[in-house]
Amino acid sequence: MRPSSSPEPASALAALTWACSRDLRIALRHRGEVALVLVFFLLVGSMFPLAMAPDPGLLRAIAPGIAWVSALLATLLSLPRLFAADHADGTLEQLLLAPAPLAALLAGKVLAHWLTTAAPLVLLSGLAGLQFDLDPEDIAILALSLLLGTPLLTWLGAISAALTLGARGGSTLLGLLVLPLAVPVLIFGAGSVEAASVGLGAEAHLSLLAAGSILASMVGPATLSLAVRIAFE
Amino acid sequence: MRNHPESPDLESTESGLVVDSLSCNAGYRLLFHALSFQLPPGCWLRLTGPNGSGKSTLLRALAGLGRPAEGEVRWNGIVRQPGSADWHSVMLYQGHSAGWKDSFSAHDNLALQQALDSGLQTDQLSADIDALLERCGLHSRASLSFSRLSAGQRHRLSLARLAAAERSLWLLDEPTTALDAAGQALFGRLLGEHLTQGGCAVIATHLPIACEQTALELDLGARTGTAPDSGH
Repeated sequence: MRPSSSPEPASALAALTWACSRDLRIALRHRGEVALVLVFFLLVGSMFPLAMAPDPGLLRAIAPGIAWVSALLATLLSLPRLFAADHADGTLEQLLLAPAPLAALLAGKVLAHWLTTAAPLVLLSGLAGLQFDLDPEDIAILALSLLLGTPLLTWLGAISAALTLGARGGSTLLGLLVLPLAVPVLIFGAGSVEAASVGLGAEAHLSLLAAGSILASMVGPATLSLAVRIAFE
Repeated sequence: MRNHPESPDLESTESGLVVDSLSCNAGYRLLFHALSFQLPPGCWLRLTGPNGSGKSTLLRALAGLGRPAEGEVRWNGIVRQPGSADWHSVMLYQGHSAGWKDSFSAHDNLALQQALDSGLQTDQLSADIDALLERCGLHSRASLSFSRLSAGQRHRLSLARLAAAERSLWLLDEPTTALDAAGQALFGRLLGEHLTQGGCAVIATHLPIACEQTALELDLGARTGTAPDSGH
């Protein structure tokens, strides 16, 4: 046999780095797809002032909610991209059979997805806030709430995307699955800006979002690898 | 499981691949039942049978993909645990879609896959990708995007991966489809080297494979619906 030549299994960190850098390179080749999600985010946000009474006070009041719903929809739009292509071209199969921890490989993919989708949304939320004439402090809290809340959103979405792999009408099903799960994130995310603007302080809301994201990052990898394995049965 | 009268101390002495009473269903249909065979080091198994007879399913079941099949698969006497890193360092599975990315060049695809295959060990990442591509006749296409390669050239890239990955057991699904005569000869040489080094291979194919070592034959079509054979 060739026992001495058999490779040692990869470390979790090496696997995470490999998967993340690979997906970032793919995103770099498909910049259009990434930009599409961001343009979608800004467009959805701009629809509301057009559809409603031109009352600056009203728009300021609903701005955080609109920004969060737009971010949620933009994330939903980008989620099928996470696994669909890898599933179709056999990459996911090779990841499952690689001498590397699957949970770390998938966590790398999720990290790359967050970096290419959610992180730009955090930056763009400033622009969305300006559209609605939010105070600079409120814009900062909105961006911070997105920064702390989107990891949780991305993990929920990734697990749902893995569960709907190979299902017919997968992307619609994905929406039905993710939207109810995202309700708490939405409430605390949008609530943080409101709480801050009435002088209650946003710490409680932001702490809850951060706690949720940390918990999701701890439980997420194992759950996600289970979901991907189920998709192959 | 140890009901083989001809080899009572099977597990203490066996080396290579042993498949023991493997059964697999596709939906409600039984694909194969109580399939047993043994593949010593340096041997390869040609898996034949009509379309739909379960060749790919058997390969996937051996690799540990998909619904767990009943029965046992052992490697060097140790029961294979699907999904374990040890098993993944022993075998290499290549199905119909090999996991190449359309947007990367042949060179980048191979370099990425080779890094993963070698367990992402930094000291082994320096494998000579260019030499591999040259050997597989893809040197002039190395920087071309994968989506612009022909079907045969795509299969040649999979051959390059086989040559680079140091695995003892190959599980290959139609590796020579779309290959020209030179490509098929190249595959025969790669397989010959692999076997000479003491490797094993299970290959599902309809085409003749030009390899010096004679193959063990398993015709799934001939077995379907029949009673389980020897060992009972």
